[in-house]
Amino acid sequence: MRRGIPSRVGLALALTVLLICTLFPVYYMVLTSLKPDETLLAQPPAFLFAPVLDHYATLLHDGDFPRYYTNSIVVAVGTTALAVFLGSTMAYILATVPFRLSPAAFFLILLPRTFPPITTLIPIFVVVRWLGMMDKLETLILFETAARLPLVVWIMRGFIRTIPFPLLEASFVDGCTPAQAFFRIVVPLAAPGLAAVGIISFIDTWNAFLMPLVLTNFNAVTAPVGMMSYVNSEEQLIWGVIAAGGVLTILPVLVIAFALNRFLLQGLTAGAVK
Amino acid sequence: MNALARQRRHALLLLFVPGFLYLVSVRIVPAVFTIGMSFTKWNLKSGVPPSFAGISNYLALLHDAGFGVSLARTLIFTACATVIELALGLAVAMLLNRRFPTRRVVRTVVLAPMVITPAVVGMMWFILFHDTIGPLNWFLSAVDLGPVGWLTSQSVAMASVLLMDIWHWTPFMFLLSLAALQAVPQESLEAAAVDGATVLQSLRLVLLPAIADTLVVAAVLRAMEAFELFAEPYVMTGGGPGSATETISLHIYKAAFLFFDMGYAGAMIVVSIGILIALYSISLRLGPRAA
Repeated sequence: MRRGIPSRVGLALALTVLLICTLFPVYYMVLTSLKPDETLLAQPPAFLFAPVLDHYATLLHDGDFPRYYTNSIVVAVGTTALAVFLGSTMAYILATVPFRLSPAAFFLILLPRTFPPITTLIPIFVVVRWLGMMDKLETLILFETAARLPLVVWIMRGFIRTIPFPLLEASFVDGCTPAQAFFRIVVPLAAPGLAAVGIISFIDTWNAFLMPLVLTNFNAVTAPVGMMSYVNSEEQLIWGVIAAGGVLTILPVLVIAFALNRFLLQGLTAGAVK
Repeated sequence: MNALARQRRHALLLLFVPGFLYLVSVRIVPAVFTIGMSFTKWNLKSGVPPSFAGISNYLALLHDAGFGVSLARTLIFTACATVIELALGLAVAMLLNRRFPTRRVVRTVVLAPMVITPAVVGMMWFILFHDTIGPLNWFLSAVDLGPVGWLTSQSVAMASVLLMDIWHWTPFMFLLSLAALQAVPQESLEAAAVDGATVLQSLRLVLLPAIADTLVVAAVLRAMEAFELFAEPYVMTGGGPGSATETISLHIYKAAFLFFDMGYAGAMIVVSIGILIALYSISLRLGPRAA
């Protein structure tokens, strides 16, 4: 199809509007995080000024943000590792070992994906408090992993089913146990799937809010929840610091999303469509 | 083959059963427990152990205007967010399905909002909506339209939350629409063009039927998440002003974790999920047939 000049101008215009709408909120947060105190409350809002890193310095030196950030990393990495391992082995069994209750088990695994997090949070909170497991990173990992599992099983089952079955059968004939076949054949062949579920699990865990809000209060607070302790302050100038915290909080997920774009898209579409 | 059967049993016990039991005990059991809890009188603060209360929590819900309003607000929000984001997402997908230089980069950038931490999205938009530090009211005043009480006016605040949600989640609808569009055979579109179909005609007669299934799945997934909206209003407004942006998750959260009224919160959960399931089964039954 050949297009005229008006159509090209229209396309360029539409793309410009789209990109501005997408980027402006993030751009303005970055801008706010770099404003010196005296420009922060300027009217009209300043767009041109000499940027300073004061707010980042405040965030990293005074207060608990570095600890929140480390907690976020530990919980997201731990949860991702556990969820990907458990979920892909479960998906492997579901896809390759026939057993009578398999459809029922698969249904029970997917079912929790449909209830909102608040549904299960009250009993979890009560039990965690009763067992003295409040405010621990292990507790967060334990429950976040379970929250990630249904999607991991769902996506990985789709990926593993594309592995030609004769390949697995041949390995059994060669004397591989199913567990060995998992590591020797499934893991290498389903590697793009593993990358996809790994990225999605990491992003979802990093972004989690309700569960860490309820299950932590000091030691195990994660970055998104910890940022809130700054918001409650009445001080208007604190917004530079909060914006800096926001920038640092979204940095890992944005970097991962851009760097590993291909796997992320594969996972996101597979999770919804397959 | 007996050896294979034994190995399979081993694999099942070793690689599946532990994970499965863990998932059931951490996700399914608490959900069942929540249903049980809804039939008790149980305030965690009081220290009194839970006692059976029959359906009294449910009867109390019938007279609880706060719950009804919050549920209705959340359902309206869910419907608006899903429909608007679906329409916008499809439009963006059609735009970015055209060939132009830098298409890959533009697609990646446009998807970015959907991976951003919801609590940070709430904070980001709080700043945009803010009277002194935010730019929106200043832009509006500059063209004599403002200022708007984005998060301070009871009648506007929920629309502001919706605006934020559209920014956050239209990319998800775009992603799925684009995946569906790319699966439509190019020949059928060309055939329609040869037959003299206008753009709107080929959209309605060729494209939409081919992508309807994916769009329905996308809408259901999005609606499920929109209904759970929590972090963003928690950060932006705490549910205020008044209770103008109190979504059902926020309402239940307050009942459970500020007032520790566990039995009553349980009943609210059961009723809202029940209504949600009813709405989904109705819309899924009507939706695909109509398309």
